[in-house]
Amino acid sequence: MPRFRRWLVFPLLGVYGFLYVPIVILAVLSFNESGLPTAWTGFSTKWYGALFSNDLILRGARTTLVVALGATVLATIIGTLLALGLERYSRSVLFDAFAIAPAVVPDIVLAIGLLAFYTMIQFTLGTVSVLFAHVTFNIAFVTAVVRTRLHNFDQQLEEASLDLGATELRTFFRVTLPLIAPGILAAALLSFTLSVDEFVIAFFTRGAGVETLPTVIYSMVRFGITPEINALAVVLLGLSFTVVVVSQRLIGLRRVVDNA
Amino acid sequence: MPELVHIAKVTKRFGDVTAVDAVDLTIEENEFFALLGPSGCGKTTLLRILAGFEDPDEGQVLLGGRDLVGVRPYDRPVNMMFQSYALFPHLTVWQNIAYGLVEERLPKREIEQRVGEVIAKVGLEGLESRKPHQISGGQKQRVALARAIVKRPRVLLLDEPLAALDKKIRADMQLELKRLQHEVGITFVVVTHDQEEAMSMADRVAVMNQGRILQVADPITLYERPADYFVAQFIGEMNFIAGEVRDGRFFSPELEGVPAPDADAGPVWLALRPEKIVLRESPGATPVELEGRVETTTFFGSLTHCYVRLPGREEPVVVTAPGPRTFQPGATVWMTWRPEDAVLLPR
Amino acid sequence: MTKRLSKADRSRPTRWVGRLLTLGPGGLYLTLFLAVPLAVIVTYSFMRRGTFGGVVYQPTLENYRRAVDPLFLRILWDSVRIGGLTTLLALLIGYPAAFAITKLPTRWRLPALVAIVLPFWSNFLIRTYAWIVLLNREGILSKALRAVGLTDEPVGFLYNRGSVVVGLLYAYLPLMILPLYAALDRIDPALDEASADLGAKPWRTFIRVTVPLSLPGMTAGSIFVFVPSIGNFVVPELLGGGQAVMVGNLIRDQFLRARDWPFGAVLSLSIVGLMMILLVVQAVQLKRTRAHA
Ligand SMILES: Nc1ncnc2c1ncn2[C@@H]1O[C@H](COP(=O)(O)OP(=O)(O)O)[C@@H](O)[C@H]1O
Ligand SMILES: [Mg+2]
Repeated sequence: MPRFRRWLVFPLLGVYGFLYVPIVILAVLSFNESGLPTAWTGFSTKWYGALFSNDLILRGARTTLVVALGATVLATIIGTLLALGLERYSRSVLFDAFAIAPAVVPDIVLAIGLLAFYTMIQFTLGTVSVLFAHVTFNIAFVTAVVRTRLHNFDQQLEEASLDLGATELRTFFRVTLPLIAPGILAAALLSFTLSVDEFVIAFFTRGAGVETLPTVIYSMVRFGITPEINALAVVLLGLSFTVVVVSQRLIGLRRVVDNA
Repeated sequence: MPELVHIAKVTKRFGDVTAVDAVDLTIEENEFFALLGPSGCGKTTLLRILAGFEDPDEGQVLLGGRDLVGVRPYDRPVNMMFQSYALFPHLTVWQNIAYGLVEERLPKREIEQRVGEVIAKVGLEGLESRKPHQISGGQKQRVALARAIVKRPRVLLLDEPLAALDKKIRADMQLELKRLQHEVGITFVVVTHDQEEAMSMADRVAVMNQGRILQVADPITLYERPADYFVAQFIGEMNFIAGEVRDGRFFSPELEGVPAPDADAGPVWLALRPEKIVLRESPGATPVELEGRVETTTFFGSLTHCYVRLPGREEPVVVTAPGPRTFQPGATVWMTWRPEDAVLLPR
Repeated sequence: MTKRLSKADRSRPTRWVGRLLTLGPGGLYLTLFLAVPLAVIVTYSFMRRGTFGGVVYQPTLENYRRAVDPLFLRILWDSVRIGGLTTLLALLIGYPAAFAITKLPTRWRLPALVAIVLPFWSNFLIRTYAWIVLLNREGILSKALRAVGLTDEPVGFLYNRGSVVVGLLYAYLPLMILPLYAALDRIDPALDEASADLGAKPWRTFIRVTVPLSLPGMTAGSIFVFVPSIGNFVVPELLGGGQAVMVGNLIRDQFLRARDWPFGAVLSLSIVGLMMILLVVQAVQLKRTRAHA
């Protein structure tokens, strides 16, 4: 165990400061009565009230929820199967690259590609087109997460199950699925969070009049300082952090880090 | 004993590697059979062919007269104990052992009864509700064993069953495996690279190298009458003298015409176990005699190893003698043996 | 013999069913929603623009000719410079931090790492917005400077290249630190000791052992930061005002304002091209480090 050199603390603390100060400031401001960064006019939760009575935000949130849930379910099923197939039945590097590509291609490129594609086949833009678009990149993340789980999976366990008289299908449900379930759940959570936060692809593929939460936020922050955003920031941060903490537990990142 | 498994001309290739090469083998009902060979010689592959995880490229595998090729692993009356044990980490000890019986759709009562019996038989009482990561290596090995024998297979395959255990537990388990095999009356096929393990447990041993079976015999025959140079050097210690058989006699630079009445003419190895050689301090009147000089001796308590150097030969000859025999390094000695104790092997 | 071989093949159908069932849906989906759209972009890049958006299917190289126009090349060069500066800063800030985390006691490493990633999971737009609050003329920084008497006037830090770089850095810094950490953590601690044993002072060990061995992490992190930076149009818009136009903004404008899709397609292919070059560089480097091992 190498000794920790004390001066190393400073760059680390610097990075944490850089990452967290803006967030903390937003959180504090969300309770500022005036809602502005200019002066502290007293503690108030009125901006939270304003947030939850803002129709635009609420409708955006509803659309986002539909998109995120739908995209998560589809992507989790397709991505898990794909991960299984790539680990077990494919040795093609090309297919591997294909499966990770949606996460690597810059979002703006995927966004305009899908917009052009939808327009070409005259697919009506709206909630569904956003949902399908989100499935595309979510598949890549689900596949990657489930694959790491499968990669550490001892295939002899499946052979042992076959040997003890279980068919392939029974083996899948009695051995494979229970053992990769935490990975699938973590992948689903990841996919959900990504989808909730995704802006660029939704922005291009949503069509007129359809707003997701991020596109609502975009139109609000373009006009400068908007106090409800501070409150929304705190709410979304709380949600994201919860999801992250839960998924960390599920993946068992602790073990991954310890083993590395 | 009636024949149970018949393997005929089985070959399995992985790309350029021929892991199993035209193997013929017969395993009898109720015997404890060992496949012995160095790492990478194809033992596991042969076992996996029997279990149904690999399809042979050529050849036939019969079990009780039924062709097994193409039969899925779950349809074979054969079970395997995996080298890594392959215990299901999400199931308890009890659930692991019951796993295969659940697949047979047996009534709950029968499953409980049979699992209970086998748990008692292998001594796992009290650990039923533990998960695999909460038990020791030796206990895991027992669970793996119990899980397989509870299915009452016609053949139990064991891949290096003792390799992962400490040396001390290993010796105990050798005895216990043998006892269990007797008790349950199942044919055991054990794979091992440890010759002592194979010799001490098995009724018959097949020695493998590079995908081929070199000799199948009971341990004593294997030790006393190896059929082949590889077998001779793989099992126990052996001294080899290169020479030639002419007119029923063995000739080499060191030896002039040792009688070898049954041997065919041609280049051969004369193979001699160290304990078959007698050391003398003065020459005797026998044609079977070699003069050499003691190089070193190593004392092992119950016996002594003596390394004797012969003129014109690079490797010293190893001689073992019971108890602490004292020969000073540098002393001149004469070695002799009974001609029938030497084995002549084709070279 | 042939008959027996076909018997051995009996297990093959289950393999084919498995293959189809697992790879089929994903392969189909990604073909439809990834491969086809990308192919559409490539096709559009060779077509004429329609009068009201969309395309007219008449092959032309005109869009590529326009893309090498100095005006556009300057914007591309600007984007590369801003993206490059962001990447460089991320490397300079991220490396010591990642290095420090690998030297923490084992039980602190995971929390330290999670703390780096956490902000990344909050909404990207809101994180960018936070910098408006901070850097605005009426913002926190301006007020703080006035409070300590460094200036009497409100100072705005927004709407220049610097604020764009800060915004991008804030958005993508965790993507630099994670691969750096992974690479640094993989280095066998015995190598440090061996180097010290051979007479190298700690900083010499750092230069001669640690840095070369962490090169793959540096490349991966740089790609993770650089590629999304140059394609980003939100940060230049929100924090750069009209002052910094990047390729991302240009693409957005072609598709949603100017309605010149073919030209937009060419522009987005330029990003893909840059990305490809970087990935090839990375692949070559990986091959070389593997050859060492
Ligand atoms: N699935 C496989 N793919 C490629 N080569 C293999 C595979 N399984 C075994 N082999 C090769 O076949 C040979 C025999 O292996 P194995 O049966 O595991 O040997 P043993 O169990 O005697 O150590 C080795 O050279 C091994 O590398
Ligand atoms: Mg083996």
